[in-house]
Amino acid sequence: MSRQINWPELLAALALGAIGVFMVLEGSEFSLGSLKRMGPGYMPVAIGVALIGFSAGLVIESGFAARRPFPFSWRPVLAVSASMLFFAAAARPLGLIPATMGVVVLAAIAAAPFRPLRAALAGLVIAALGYLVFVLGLRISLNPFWW
Amino acid sequence: MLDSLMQGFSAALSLDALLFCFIGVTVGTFVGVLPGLGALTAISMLLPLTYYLDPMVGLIMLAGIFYGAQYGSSTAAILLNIPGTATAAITCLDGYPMARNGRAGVALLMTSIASFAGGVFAICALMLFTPALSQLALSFNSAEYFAAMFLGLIAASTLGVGSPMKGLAMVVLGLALAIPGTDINSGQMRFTFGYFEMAEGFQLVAIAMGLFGVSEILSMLIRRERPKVLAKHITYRSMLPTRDDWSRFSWPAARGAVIGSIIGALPGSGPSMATFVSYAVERRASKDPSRFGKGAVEGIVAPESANNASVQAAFIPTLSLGVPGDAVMAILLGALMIHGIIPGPEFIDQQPRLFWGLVASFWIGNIALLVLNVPLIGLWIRLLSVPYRILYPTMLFLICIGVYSVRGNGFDVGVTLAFGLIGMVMNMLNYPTAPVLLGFILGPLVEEHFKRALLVSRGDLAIFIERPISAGLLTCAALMLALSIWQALHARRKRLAREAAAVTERTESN
Repeated sequence: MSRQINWPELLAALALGAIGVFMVLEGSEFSLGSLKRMGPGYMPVAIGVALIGFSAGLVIESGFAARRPFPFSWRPVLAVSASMLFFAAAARPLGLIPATMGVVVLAAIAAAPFRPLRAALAGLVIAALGYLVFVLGLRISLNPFWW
Repeated sequence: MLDSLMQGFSAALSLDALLFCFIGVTVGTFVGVLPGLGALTAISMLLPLTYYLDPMVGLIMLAGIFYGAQYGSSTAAILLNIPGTATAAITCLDGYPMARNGRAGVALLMTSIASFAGGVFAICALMLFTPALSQLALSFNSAEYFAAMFLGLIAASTLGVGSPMKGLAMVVLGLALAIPGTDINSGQMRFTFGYFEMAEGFQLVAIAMGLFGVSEILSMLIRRERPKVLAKHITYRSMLPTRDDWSRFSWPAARGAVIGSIIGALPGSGPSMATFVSYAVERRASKDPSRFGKGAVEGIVAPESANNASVQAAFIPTLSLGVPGDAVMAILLGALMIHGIIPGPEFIDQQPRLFWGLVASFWIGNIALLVLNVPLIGLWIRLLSVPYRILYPTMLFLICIGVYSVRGNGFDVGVTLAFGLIGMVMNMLNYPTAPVLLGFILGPLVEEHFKRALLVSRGDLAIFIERPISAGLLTCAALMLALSIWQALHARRKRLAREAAAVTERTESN
């Protein structure tokens, strides 16, 4: 019986181990201290070691893990990422309303079929409501537009 | 106690508190009704609002979402055979058959009243036991706190479904996420990656919204799940239960309330487990178990009573010890910590208005929910038909503005997206996300108590087993760990045996 490597599970386990290694390396640049008086490096190193341990356990477990195919598509991932990054970049320079329009329109691309006009209209309504609730209601310091 | 409760009511009946209690339970019912959206997602999304609110008002709103969702979740279970949130999965078993028998109205009414009954019982338990438990906890010192939180973390990560190893690893990942930022003891900056935004560490709001908001949206979009809608008209006449229905109501509701309260108060076991146990108990207690699964009233009354009871009872350990039992409680704890309030044994004495105001709001909220879910049920059924293509961009916008508003910078929005993508991968690979948050929130507290206990004992680890309560709690944690390891090995051996059998069968047939 040849055992195939379960790549997704294995990579996830290794990624955890990598975080652990990073914590140990980065944490040991600070003073470790002793059990009696722990330095700022103690906890990061301890947690890093624990992560490496769990990573090893999960690598072994990945050999036994049930192989389940899972659906994946790039379209929602890219659309949602673009939408949130647009907001992060545009909120301050462009103002709330253009940023909101961008979020809604870019997010709408995630689900086929994409209807630009309908998305823009939805964006306008959501932006207007958002302005009322967050800027006028909760007094968040954001200009509606760039001027 | 009555005096304090009256004071609580006077606080909870202020205009602000009433308004946000109402907003909370309405949002809760809304996300409860809609399949695919849970209380955890909604609470994460509304968490930034609490920055702008009085701590009590903010807590009242977030709590309202939690128990409101328990009321709403049965609607989709009964009408669509899809649980509105995971805790209503059991309600499908008998609720949907009732709807098919033309008794949807009765089922909707009975589940609302059962939720109310369970809630009322658990609030009474909360009022009795929380002050008593905090009296007991006054003798706790850091060793006991460390042990209690350790037990909570172990319970939360091993009792869930799926691999206990993944659960534990995710708690540790949560602890790791709590490290970046300024070290409390030395004032040194750790793990900031050169970003000055990281001086305060990761923002709770960004992690919560990423793991439970963005990742849920992504997972739903990828699975192309569009909750199908079966709009139905429910007349008030069709909601009238028969005399037989009523006779089957009281005992199951009472048993569900007791079971739910006990399970809810224990760390790590939440409403889902309460519904499973109470349904199993009803079947055992019934004279005719064959009626279950075909529309037995007991089969919806007991679990619905249990899940609302467990949600209310979950506040007992959180408010008396400051040890949250699950991710929702951890977020509520986080919301208090944002305002500089750390619940513990002195919480009720120091913040009587907050505690009793919250308790009073539970009474008000549950009554409001009864009104929302019985006379206005038609409205929610129509709401099931809100198209997802409007809903998810709106949610995404709320996440963006919510995270942005906390510190007024876009950096946190990017962090939220990163956690959203991580959460999506975790969902795909069956890594649980809730323990990460639990570890993140409890991490600094665990670290602090651990350090303080060892400072007292001059670095002697024996302090954790010399004190009886701490030793008891740690023994429980060790037992739980051992049990989950045994279960995991057992399941693996079974699967290996099955695979081996399949292989021999195949070779033999060749």
